Amino acid sequence: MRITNNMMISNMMTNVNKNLQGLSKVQDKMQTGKKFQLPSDDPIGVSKSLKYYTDLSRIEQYKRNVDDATSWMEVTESAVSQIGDILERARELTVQAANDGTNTGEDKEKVSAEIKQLREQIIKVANTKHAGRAIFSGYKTADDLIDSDGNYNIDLNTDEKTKYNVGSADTIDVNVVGTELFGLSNNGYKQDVSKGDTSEMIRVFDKLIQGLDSDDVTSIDESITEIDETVSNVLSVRAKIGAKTNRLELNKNRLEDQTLSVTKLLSKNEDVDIAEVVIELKTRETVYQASLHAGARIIQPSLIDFLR
Amino acid sequence: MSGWIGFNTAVSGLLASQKNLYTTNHNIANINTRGYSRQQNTQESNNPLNIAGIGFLGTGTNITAVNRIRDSYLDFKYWGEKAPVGEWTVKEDTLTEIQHIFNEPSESSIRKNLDELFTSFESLSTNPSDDSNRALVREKMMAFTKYLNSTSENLKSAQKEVNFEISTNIKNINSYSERIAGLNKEIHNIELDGSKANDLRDKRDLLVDELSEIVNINATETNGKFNVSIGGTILVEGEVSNRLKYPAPTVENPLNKEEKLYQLEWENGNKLKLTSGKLKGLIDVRDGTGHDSKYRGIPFYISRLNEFANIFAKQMNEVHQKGFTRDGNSGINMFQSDDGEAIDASNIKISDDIMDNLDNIAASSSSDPSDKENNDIILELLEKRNDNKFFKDTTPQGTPDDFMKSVLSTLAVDGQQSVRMKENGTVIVDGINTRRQSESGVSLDEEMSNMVKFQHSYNAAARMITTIDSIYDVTINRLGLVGR
Repeated sequence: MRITNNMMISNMMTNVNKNLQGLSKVQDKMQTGKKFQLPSDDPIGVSKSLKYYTDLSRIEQYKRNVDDATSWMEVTESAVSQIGDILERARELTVQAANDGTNTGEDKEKVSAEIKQLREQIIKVANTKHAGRAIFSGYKTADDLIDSDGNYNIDLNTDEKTKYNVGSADTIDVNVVGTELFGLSNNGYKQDVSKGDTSEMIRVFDKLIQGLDSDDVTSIDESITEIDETVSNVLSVRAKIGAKTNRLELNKNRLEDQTLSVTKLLSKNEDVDIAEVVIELKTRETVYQASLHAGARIIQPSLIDFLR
Repeated sequence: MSGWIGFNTAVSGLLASQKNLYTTNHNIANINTRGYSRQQNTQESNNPLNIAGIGFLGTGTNITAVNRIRDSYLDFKYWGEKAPVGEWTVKEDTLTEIQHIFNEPSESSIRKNLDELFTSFESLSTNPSDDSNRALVREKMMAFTKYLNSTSENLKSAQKEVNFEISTNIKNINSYSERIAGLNKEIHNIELDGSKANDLRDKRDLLVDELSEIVNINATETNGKFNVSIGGTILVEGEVSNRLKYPAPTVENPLNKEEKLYQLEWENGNKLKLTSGKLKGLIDVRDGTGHDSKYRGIPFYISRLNEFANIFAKQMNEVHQKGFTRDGNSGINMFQSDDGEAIDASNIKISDDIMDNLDNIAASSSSDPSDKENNDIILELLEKRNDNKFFKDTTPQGTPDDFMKSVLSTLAVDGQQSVRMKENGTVIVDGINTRRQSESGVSLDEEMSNMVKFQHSYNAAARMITTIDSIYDVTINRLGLVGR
């Protein structure tokens, strides 16, 4: 083949350009730390990355939801635990009052006064707020659960459960609906209630107070059993909260693990191996410089340089 | 036999060497001229004198022609291969631009906006009574709709630019047509006497080179004139040039009322048939809907985006309408169009109801305004993201993420293909070009050695004149003194 000057120059230009393009691609990789810049660089890699990013953003949000749920449950747990303490104290006092032989009328008055205080305390706890939301009021978190008379302040259905997403296709009921804990008078703890209905727990207290005030020993004795029933309900509610808190904790751990593994996958999918890229960059630099050197030699000498 | 024969022979050598030197000079001068092919003189010895009893005596030399060194077979191959490169270059450029518009993967892409929109729903689900969560949802809805609006806008402006380029190319083709016909005429006039219009032919070939990148052409030479046709219709025939209609007629753009689309039409009203070339690439990316085995150009992506916006809005609205606002109202839309037309990517916006009042985000399935913590509808909206029947009468189908991911992989794969096709085509064209250069390019070394050669032959011929001169000097000046 006949070789001409322009042929060599244009070949050289093509090759130098190609090497420069390769160099620029590696430099992009270096600077961004990513294997691809455009979807067309790696269609499959990019679509994988998109999925991983979405997965990550979801997992992060589930983690936030778990935290929200956990803090809500902690508040609930502490409220329920207070109720447990109140009931325990009430039972203690009642047993004491029931011991008819040792109590004077004055003692019973004192007991009655304290039980009244405890009743107030229960109403207060029933209206516990978390970040401005009444935790036992079902969906009606703006309203108190129980009014000062011990009657329900709102219509409340047992299905007013707030669900949080704490994983993909994984939801958890975070709230304890008031009736589950405070019950409907003489009708247990699984009933829907209407505004004005009396709470079972309050009814037990009211009966006890009445018994104390009228010094009705049988009534006081009955109250002990009734308080025990209330306590056992509170314990079962508490156990449920405990189980859920536990589940949330496990969930949180699992989400942490997922974050880690998805981040790993994402990194493996799109992050460059720096050592590899540096070596590639060096190689490309060398090739580029070599092509420039060769070019310089190709262009210069011609017969003209030797004709004098 | 004339006594001057030797003198004439020497002069012919002198003149021939001079002409050879001039051609060498011309080659060197044009080494960097685009489209130039090197020239070579044809040199022949003159008719000899028949001397009785002796034989034929040579009478010197003559330059009979100046020829262009060029392989027309390579030219035809080049013109055939150049068009696909033009076509795929345009496609690569446009698809790269579309990829930049979609800007994936990045922190400002549809994926990111969708992620954040649903994340804001999640936040709202954990506290539907909180105004700040509602404001967040509205903010993310705003970002999402604005993203769709601007992406749609960018795609339309890309289409507009392509459209403009089409009209420029129509003008170019007409200009090439006229110039080639003009050169046909000039070349014909010069070549009437049998000589070759080398430099004009170079110019004409260069014009055809350039034209062949824009459209698929077929060129044949008859009687020194080029006939050029596009898709079977004649563009140049001898000295007659045909034209495409310019300014080009337009039709409505179904995807953008404000930008009418230029049509390719011959002046006689026939359609221009294209099989490859830059213009075909431009038409494909401007008009390619992806339907009926058409190319997936800009309209494909605009339509997909419109479809996405429309169905997304419809599905979300459907769920949201079932829900109740904080005031206990229902039937509220999340999204609406800003011009009363069907919702698409360009007109989608947050419904006025939600824009006016955050309370109108219907999170609750209960009509009782005091059920503030009811988040059933938000949960249902969140579930929609996993609904693989979200897009069901479309291609692609599946969840919103599936839909956009599939559109983006189509873009990625098509982009990759355009890069490959262009690179393959470029390799072929470069190969042919190298062979053309090898044949027609000027080699400085060659020209310099020729120069030395011709210089020496010139010097030698001149020396011959001196020799003959000295012969005559002897016979004329130094013999006898008769007549003096």
